[in-house]
Amino acid sequence: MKKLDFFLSKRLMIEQRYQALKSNQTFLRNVQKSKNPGEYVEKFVLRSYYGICFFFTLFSLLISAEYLIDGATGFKSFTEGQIGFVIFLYALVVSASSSFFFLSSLNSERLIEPLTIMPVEISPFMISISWFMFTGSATFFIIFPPLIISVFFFHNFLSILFGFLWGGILIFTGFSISSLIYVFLNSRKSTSGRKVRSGLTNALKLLAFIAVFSIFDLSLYFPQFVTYISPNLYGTVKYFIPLLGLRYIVFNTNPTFQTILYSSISTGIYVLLAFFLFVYSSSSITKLMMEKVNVTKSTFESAKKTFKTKSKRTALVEKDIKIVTRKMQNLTLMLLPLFFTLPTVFSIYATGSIGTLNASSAYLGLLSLLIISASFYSMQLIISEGDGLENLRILPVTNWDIIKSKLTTGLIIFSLFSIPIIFILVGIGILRITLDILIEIDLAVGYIFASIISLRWLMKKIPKDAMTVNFYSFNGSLGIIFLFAVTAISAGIFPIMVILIYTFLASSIFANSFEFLMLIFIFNIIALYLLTSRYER
Amino acid sequence: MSFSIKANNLTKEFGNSTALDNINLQINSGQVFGILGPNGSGKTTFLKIIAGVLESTSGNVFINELNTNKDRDIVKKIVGYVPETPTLYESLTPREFLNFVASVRGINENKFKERAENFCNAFGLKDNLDEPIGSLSFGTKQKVAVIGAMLHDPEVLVLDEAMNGLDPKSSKILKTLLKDFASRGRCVIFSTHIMEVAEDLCDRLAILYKGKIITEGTLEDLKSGSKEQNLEDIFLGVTGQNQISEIVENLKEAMKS
Repeated sequence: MKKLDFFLSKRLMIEQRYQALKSNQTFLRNVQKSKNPGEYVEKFVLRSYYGICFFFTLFSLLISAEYLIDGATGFKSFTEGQIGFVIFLYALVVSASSSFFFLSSLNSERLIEPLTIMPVEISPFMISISWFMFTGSATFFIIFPPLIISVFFFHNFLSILFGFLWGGILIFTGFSISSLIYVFLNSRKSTSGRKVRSGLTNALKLLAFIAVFSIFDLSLYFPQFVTYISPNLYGTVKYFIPLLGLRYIVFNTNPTFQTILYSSISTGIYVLLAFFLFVYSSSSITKLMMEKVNVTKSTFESAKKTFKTKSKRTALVEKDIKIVTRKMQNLTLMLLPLFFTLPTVFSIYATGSIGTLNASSAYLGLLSLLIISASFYSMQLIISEGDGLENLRILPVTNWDIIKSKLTTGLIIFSLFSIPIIFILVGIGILRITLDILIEIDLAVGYIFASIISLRWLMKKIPKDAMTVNFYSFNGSLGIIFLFAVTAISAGIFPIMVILIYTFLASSIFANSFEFLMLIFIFNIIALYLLTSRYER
Repeated sequence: MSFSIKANNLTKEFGNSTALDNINLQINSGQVFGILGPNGSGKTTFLKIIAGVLESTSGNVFINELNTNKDRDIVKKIVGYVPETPTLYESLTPREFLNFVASVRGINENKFKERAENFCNAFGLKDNLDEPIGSLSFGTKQKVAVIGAMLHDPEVLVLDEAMNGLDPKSSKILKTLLKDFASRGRCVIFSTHIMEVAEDLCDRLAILYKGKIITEGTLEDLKSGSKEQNLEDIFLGVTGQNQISEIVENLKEAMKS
């Protein structure tokens, strides 16, 4: 690879990362303060790379942890239980989805445009190498932990070699798949199919997102289900079935000459296939990006084609809903709380007997959804303003107006998720319909109280002079951890108080769910009244 | 109604850098007031403080008795502001954006309809009204931002390089509108790098350099205080940027070598 190609790929990668950071005031101040701004940005990108690698390693270890407790026996069941398969599949899906987002951002931020006017021959691998430098290489950290643990227990060093090669096959194939889909969706010039392609792009993004988190949820909460869907394979053919064969190639606890030979042939074939696919897709995507800059345009139908006014609050909420629903990235992010909490919510019901479950436990189970939603939606709805924050700064809109609109939008989305869950619980006989309504009211009031506190904190964190807002406006990850903690306390304080009262009275919260829920409701309403009356005055 | 905008000892700092340094200025209603200055001279900061978008570090701007720091919410109701780069909500259409602005500003629906229709016709925006803002050209976005700032018929109109990206017809219409606006006793404050526009449009001018006002007055005042006779030369002279021929000669030499 030529030095210039490497230089351009690295520049592209840093520019792509910089787009996420450029509007953050603290970051910009630090860049300005530093003696060498360019070096500072590069170091910052490198630090975030280490952070992602660490996160992937931690995630992989988290999945393996349950099996490591039982030592070698446990880990054998780990590999036989196809968790290794899940981790490799996860690497493939992460690679495919991150590639798609990477390519989309190159296009939307018009990062290729400066290169098109330069009199240099652009390598067909420039984009793929740029992707590999940050996202692709970090994805390898998902597969390393089980490989190292496997060698530690079974002393089969070939696991490292085969695992590394198969990791490469899947990660590079993930990029190839996304690139080819991207080329397919953007290569046709006619405008008639643009809406269909735009819809298809959004659907694919949503599916990729759901796939990533479904695997996360499945592997974390229902490993036995994965064993069930991945049957035992027999004969030589088992070495040649992608992914399902990993159990025999990578996690081979009794290697023989024959198994090593089959594994080598299979791996060799797939390495070659993945390589040719990667070469083809890399050149296709580079060609498309160089020829056709800024190819995608968002398309949607605007329903009411009239000039019309509404109340200030309705206008703000309507604007928030449009921003969320019309941008796939925002829409998919709204599903995150559900993915993170649904397994917890349902595992409470799945592991207990129906007889011991009632409205109190149903409410406590749903509290995790409330906490994650109240903090995450508050943050995400503010972040979705992006550069549009300047519009709110120009207009006569107070911070309290913004808090009220974000709160209402968040509550609508939260209700869309929580109401069906409660209906399911009614349907399977855990709840009575009257308590169902009371739970939903309690959750709504709790959501409003917790959200107001998180939104107030978030709005205070945005610098007064800032005309844009993003994830880093709230002190990055540390700020988010603090936000989650504050929301958890504000949403959990009244249920905890009521439980303590019950404990003091030596009574069970499960004995009378109606009383339990009513007490939480009363506490929340009083707190909400005291909180909001300060603003409304 | 006659009123004035007064900046008293206005200073704005961003971290260690001073964007505005002890500015004192009075702008009366019925005027088109131009702010000129090289890049980074503090024009945008000054305009944002007048519009109540930014707070000053010290000193104040008063629109009559309203302090733009303390009475920001009231100030924003009587001011219309067009930022240097139109950062509109890209997922909305121009129609939806204007509906949003009118709703938040509480404009009477009938008045809004009439004004919006007229503005959109004048600026040739009718064909783009239902396309996502994200897919529009820079100039079209600028038109949406200009209409959004004028919809509520503000007392003070603040425009930060609003002519950028506008086609000649829209630019001419905007200039005429601004003059008409001022003739109705309103106040227009705008910044520009186009000297012809400033000469053509402004009743008074101020030149800002490194956060300070270095000269202020009518075009005639500026000409009488300078040996130069056109605004461009006056501007380059007072901002110490008049060594153009020397710079060009150096560049020519560099290109030859």
